[in-house]
Amino acid sequence: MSATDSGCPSPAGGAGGPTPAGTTPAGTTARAADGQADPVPAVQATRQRVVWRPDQVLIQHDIPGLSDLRDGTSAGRLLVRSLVRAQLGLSLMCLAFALTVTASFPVIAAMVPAVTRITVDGVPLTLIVLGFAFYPVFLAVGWFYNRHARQLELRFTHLLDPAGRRPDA
Amino acid sequence: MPDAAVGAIAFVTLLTIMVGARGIRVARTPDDFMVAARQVAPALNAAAISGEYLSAASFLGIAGLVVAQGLGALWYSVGYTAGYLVLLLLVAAPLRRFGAYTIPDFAVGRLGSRGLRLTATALVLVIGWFYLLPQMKGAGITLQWVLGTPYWVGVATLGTVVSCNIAMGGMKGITFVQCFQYWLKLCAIGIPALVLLIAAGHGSSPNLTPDRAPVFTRATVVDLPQATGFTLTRATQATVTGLVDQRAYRDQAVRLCACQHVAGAGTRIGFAAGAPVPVSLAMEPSSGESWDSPLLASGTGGAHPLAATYGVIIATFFGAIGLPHILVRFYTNPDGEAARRTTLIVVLLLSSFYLFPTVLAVLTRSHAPQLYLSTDSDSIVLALPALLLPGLPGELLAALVAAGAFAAFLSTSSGLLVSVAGALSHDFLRRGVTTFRWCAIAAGAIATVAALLIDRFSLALLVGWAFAIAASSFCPLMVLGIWWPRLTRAGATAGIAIGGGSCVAAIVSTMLGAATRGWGAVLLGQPAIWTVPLAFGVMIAVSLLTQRTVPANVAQVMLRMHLPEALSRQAYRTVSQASWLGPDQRPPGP
Repeated sequence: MSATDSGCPSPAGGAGGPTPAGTTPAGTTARAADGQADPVPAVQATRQRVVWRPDQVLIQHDIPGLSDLRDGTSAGRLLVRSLVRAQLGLSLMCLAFALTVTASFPVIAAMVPAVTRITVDGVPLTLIVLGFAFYPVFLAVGWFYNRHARQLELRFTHLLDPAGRRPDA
Repeated sequence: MPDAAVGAIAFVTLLTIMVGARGIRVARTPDDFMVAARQVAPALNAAAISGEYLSAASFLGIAGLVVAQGLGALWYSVGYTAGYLVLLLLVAAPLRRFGAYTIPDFAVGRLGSRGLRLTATALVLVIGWFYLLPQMKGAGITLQWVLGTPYWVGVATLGTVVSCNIAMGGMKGITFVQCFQYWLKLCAIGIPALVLLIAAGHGSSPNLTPDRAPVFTRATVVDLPQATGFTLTRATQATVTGLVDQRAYRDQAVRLCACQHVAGAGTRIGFAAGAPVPVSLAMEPSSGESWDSPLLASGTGGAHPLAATYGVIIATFFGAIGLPHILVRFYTNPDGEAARRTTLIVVLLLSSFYLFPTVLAVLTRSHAPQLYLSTDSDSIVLALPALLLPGLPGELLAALVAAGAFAAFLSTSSGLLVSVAGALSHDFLRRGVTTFRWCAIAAGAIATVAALLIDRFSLALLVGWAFAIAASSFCPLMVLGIWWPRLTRAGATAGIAIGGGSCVAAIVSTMLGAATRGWGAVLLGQPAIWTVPLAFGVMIAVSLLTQRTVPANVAQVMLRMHLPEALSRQAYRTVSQASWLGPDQRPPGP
């Protein structure tokens, strides 16, 4: 998430103000002339036609980051990529954990056959592991993932939409 | 016994039709008809998904396979549950946010190509039909066991009921039906399992001791309704009435050698306590592994059990993502967050269900080993209650199990038929509800005919194969499509065609008996171990070679899949329609 934190325009950066370090100057021009898909570099933009469209000025003021996403500016792309990467990292971490716990059992059993001869109170260990023990692991991993994926999305939402921040969130 | 079971099956079928018929009045628009108008609460939706997912394999197949092949077959139930965990981690929320009805819709929306749509639709049909076959087989053997009707009667009954129900009701009805079916199935397997566990009493059985062949725990008389070939692991005395090895006996003590025997129809054999359990040829484990080994050798002729086990693990863990009838349900969630919640509840519901087939299998092994003389491992769950609990209670439990089994075939084949008919009408022919109805009937008829040819394969094995095809075609498409912006049309098409095609080819050659020993048997019998990496590899390699054809709108599509609803709602609320062109029509960003 560090990339997101540095790449995101702060709430103060709305309404044509200077963008924070890390975003390109193109972000500034894109804000000045919103709806223009291909922003002109700031150096060339000596003369610019400014069109007054009240609804869009309102957006600029309220949710600065969202227009970057919509227009696909480099800042917006950076933001989306960081969100996708953070989500994918979380997913892969959970997946790796669940796979390691479950899929290591056949290898262990093949290498150390004594494991399969263990019985607990007359019930084979294999039966306990394969029949019952993996399910709580799956539930725990799923619960952990849901919690953290939700937090990631909340943080991303707040980053882009400080106006929508609720006291309880 | 038949009366109670027949009544229960008729009741379940009628109830399904009635609840479905209620849906007809609710269904108004084609959108309602297809995806239940996206207004289903997570708990209800999770029960509906689970109801649709728990098929004949879960209900009859796994317990039977565990009894016959050993504890390694439990990897099927572990994998069917883990499939939903993998689905939760990799695709649940982005897929819901993407918002398309079927896998072909996803493929086209993400990559946009007519050729890709046709390839994906063809795979939906292959997986759907492959998965329909075991359901039909389950219905065939259930009615065969309950009524004594020929195998084809059950198959034809299920085909007719499901096709007509789908053609009349669509999916709105089916959501309620599926939800009801989950709880019915849980009760139908949970109550018998718990009652029988209590009836069997506590105390460990010698048959659960590792590395030991099963023995009769008490003196047992076995009736063989049909001619049965069986094997004894050591010689034993038995009291025989009837025909054994072409010699007629009448209540005589016979010494049976440690070899193969054939008993005639109607033969009755009495064994003393401690006698070795004869195993029928149909139930014979395919590998030399002991019963309590965690490795599985089903469908591979017993060769290389470790590789075969990983084949099953890969197929089941990654197959759920690619099942065409399951993904449709995710669009009935209101948003991505709800999709994740729903999926977690599904994992919980499946985990609870899969405890019980294990219990039934272990009870069979420890307390009713005479079921090793069954002619089909899939009928064990149906026969167990009457053996452990004689009299009326046993009959009632058996009726409950039969009803639950029928519910399993009804619900899964309904879901499958909706997606197969949807793929046919939506993607191959012109759109429309009338076409959809006719496609449902046609697809059901094809599956019914095909099911008559596959009755010698185990249910769990057949369903496992459907998962293997899904895992090596649609799983890479969904995972790479959601997480990898550089996926291209050509890459996706090649991956689906090569991965799915080679998997289907391997399975069909196993069914035809191409290789029965060695690595050939493993690689063809459990192909997921190589076809899944192959599909991912081809998809990535071809995409990297065709980077010029990456869709222009990929950034917007990724945004749509991964942006939380709170933000996309903001965008739609504050931006006027004129300036928001929508992700598809916008020019690509700089």
